[in-house]
Amino acid sequence: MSRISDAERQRLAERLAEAVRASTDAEQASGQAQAQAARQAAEVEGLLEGGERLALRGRDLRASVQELRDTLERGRLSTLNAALEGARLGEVAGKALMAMTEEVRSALGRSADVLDDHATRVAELERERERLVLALGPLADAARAVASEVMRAAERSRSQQEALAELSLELRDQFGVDPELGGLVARASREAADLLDTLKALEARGAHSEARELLARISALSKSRTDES
Amino acid sequence: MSTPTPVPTSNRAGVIVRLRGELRFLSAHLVRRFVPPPTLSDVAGTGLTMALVDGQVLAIIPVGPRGAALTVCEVGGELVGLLGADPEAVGFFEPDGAGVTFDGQNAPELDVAELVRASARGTFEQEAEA
Repeated sequence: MSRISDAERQRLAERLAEAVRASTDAEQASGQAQAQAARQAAEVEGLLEGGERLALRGRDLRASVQELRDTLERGRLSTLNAALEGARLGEVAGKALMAMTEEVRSALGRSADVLDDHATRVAELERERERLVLALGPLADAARAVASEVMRAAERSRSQQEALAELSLELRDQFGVDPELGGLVARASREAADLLDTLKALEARGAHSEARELLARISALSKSRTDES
Repeated sequence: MSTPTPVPTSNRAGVIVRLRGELRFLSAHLVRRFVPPPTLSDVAGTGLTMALVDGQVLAIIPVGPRGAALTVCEVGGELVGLLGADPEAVGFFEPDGAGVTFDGQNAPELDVAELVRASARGTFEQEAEA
């Protein structure tokens, strides 16, 4: 099985461990990106649906404005008919009726002006809504495209991870390379180096007794591990 | 205490209508009422237009664009509807020649009887042509 040196096996195992870690990180990031893209696409879709609902509300508002306009017009005709009755009564007898109808007609006229203002504002809102929906269209397309691309990237990432897992198996069978073991050995090496650096730093600061105590604890630990094995 | 006697004035009671952009006067005794423009029905082969207004069938004389109101007038005991004569004001107006003054402008009287006759002549001419 072993046609490579221990050092090469360890190096391969460490590289493989790094590759597996990077691949796992990539898959996690890919999953998060996928969720984020899906959320954004859904939000843009939600905004578009909101735009559609606003269009329906706008239609209702226009219909009610028209209904109000018709009602005001009927009211105006009623006041004209009342004024006509006043005119038939004569300038003196019909004076009060004429004055009242004039007042009502004036109020109806003001209401019609306010209604026209409302209709103008409703039309402005409708134009604003159309502009927003037009702007949202390309955004929705882009969000869908991103979501689809991210999904493809996630699939590629999974494929890579599977390929890496197969490669790991192959390397373990062929050369006894174990990325987990390699990773643990690499970590132990790093931590041992750190420990030596700490001891040196303690001695450099004159903390010889503390350094000796630490060394003694390491030795005791090492001895107990040897005895156990 | 005596009740003040109404002082008769020379102002004319009636309606100012706008007909194809021009102001015209209709006497109050001629105009019956104003109603929203009804659904019109052409009487085939006669050139006449009729409409059902408050349960009554009226002859309609189109004098302008449809507008916002039908002015119902009584001419010779018959009711006719003027379509396209939109009412602007109702009240008492200072006489001015054959019409009145409204907002400083002259509003000549609209001869509805003549309109009815003209309408009838048009119908008769069509019948003769047929």
